[in-house]
Order: sequence, then C-alpha cells, then structure tokens
Amino acid sequence: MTLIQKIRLSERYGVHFYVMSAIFSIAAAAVCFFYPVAIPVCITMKLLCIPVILYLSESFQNKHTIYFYLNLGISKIEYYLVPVMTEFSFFIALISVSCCIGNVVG
Amino acid sequence: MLVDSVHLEFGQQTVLQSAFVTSETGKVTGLFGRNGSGKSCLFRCIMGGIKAQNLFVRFNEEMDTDYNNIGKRVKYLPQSLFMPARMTLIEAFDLYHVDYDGLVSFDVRFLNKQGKRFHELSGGEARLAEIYLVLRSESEFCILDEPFSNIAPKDVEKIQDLILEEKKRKGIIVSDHMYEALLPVADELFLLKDGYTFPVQTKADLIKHGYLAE
Repeated sequence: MTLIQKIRLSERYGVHFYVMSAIFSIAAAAVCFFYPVAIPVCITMKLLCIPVILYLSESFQNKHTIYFYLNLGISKIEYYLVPVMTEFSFFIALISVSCCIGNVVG
Repeated sequence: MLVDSVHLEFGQQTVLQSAFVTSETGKVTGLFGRNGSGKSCLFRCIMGGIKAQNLFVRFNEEMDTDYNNIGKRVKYLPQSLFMPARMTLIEAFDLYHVDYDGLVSFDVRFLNKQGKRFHELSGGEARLAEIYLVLRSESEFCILDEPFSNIAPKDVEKIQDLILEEKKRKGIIVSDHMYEALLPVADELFLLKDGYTFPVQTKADLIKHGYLAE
C-alpha cells in the first residue's frame, strides 16, 4: 500500500481527528493573518493539542475498528501517525499562506 | 507460523507468560480458554494491537519477521464487530480484494445489499459478512476470535464449511467457547490456562484441565 493510499484511507478512520484539527488550524490561521509574530505560539499550541485531539477522536471510534486497518497491512504506528502528519503538514501550509497574505494586505 | 514466548502484563497482573500457539497451512488450530484467560490478548499481541512485553512470531524458516506489517500475512477477526460502521459492504470487499458475488453465493440474504453500510445490517448479518471477508481475503493465516458466537445454528454450519474449504490454502486459528462447533473442524487443540498454553487432544483433556464440567 502506497503512502497516498494510506493517506486516503486515513480520511475514513481519522475523520473525527481531521475535523477537530481543522477547527484548530483555521483558528490558528486567522490569528497568524492578523499577528504573524504568533506563528511560534500557534505551532507550540498545535503540538500540545495533538495528543488531546487524538484521545478525543479515539473516544468516537469502536476500539476494534483498528484491526480492520491492521488487516490491510498498516502498522499501529502508521494508523496514528499518517493522519497526524498529514494534518500537521496542512496546518503548516495554511498558517504560512495566511501569514504571507496577512503581510501583503497589512 | 509459530507464536512463542508471549509475555503480557498489565501493571501487576500477568495475563500471558510463555504462551505459544502454532498454525500450519492445511490445518485448523483450536484455542480454548476460560473468560479472561488471555486468548483475545494473545491474538491482539500477534496483530500488534497490544504491545506485549515479549513476543516471538516466526513464519516458516524466515529469520526476520516484519511485525509492523503482519496484517499482510495474517488476517484477524476480533470477537466484536470491527468493520467501520459507515463503510458500505462493497467498499470493504474492494479494500480486502474479495469478490462480493461470493458472499451472495454463500448467503443469498446479501443479494442487493452491497450498498448497505455495516450499521444498517443486523448484528448477525454484519458478523457473517465479516467472517466471510476475513476468511476469503488473501492471506497465509487467519485468526478467528469467537466466530460461532451469536450466530444462528444454520449459519454455524456454513461457517464450518467455509473454514474447511479455506484451510486448504491457509492456516487458521479459531478460538470459541462453543467447543461443539469447533471440535469437528479443528485438527489440533490448545488450551490457554493461567497464562500458559497446553496442547490438548480430546474433550476429556478439556475436562481434566477444568475447562469443561464433568
């Protein structure tokens, strides 16, 4: 299974994680738009929030569902890491773009 | 497949100590054990769902085992429903590369249900679809945790036939408390007790080890 396939699959089981993380990311992007100096604070906050969001999103899922994905050859580490890394990349891209636009507009 | 030296502890509680189980292509291995004896934990350790303090898995004569991608070689059916509730039957079958028409031939109740989501099926139907999916998927070994429980007697016979058919091309480990359904299909038997595995031969051995009442 390729990385792209794993990312696409993570959209299924990680939907709660993605939604909750996206809310945080959009809020952080808005802050960075008006206050570009807040980027380090936003990144730190984001890193601190990841375990909390993971814990919350886990509570929405059937605990046995993980085996559906392990059966496909995905490891337990990948199961958690793929959505986290994908969303974090999206977060970095989003605050970078937001900060750039904020600088240009400002 | 040899699974050996499995040691699992949760804090002060030791669940498994030096537990082992073997599986061979062409054979069905039956695993018995009382509730809480660690059968499901053993299976989850094999699949990587639970991290054991010690675990050794070996395939044939291979020197190294890729524990991270064990799901490519071993398919596991947990004791409760494990399909994502919002996934449709056809999506699950496509992901596992299993032909949906085979399920319809297996049980005609699934005709025109490929678009149904798992949570829209009855508990028994969803379980039957899961068992079929795991057994028919491409793998070297299958681990089935309580496949006969909560299934209608007529469907138990169908599952037994499916296990006997699939064992020709893979090794199958089955654990279930319904020993009367498991005994006819099992080629070798093990009993998990006090964290250790004991090979057993007959029903009398199960009585001797205190699994069955006299």
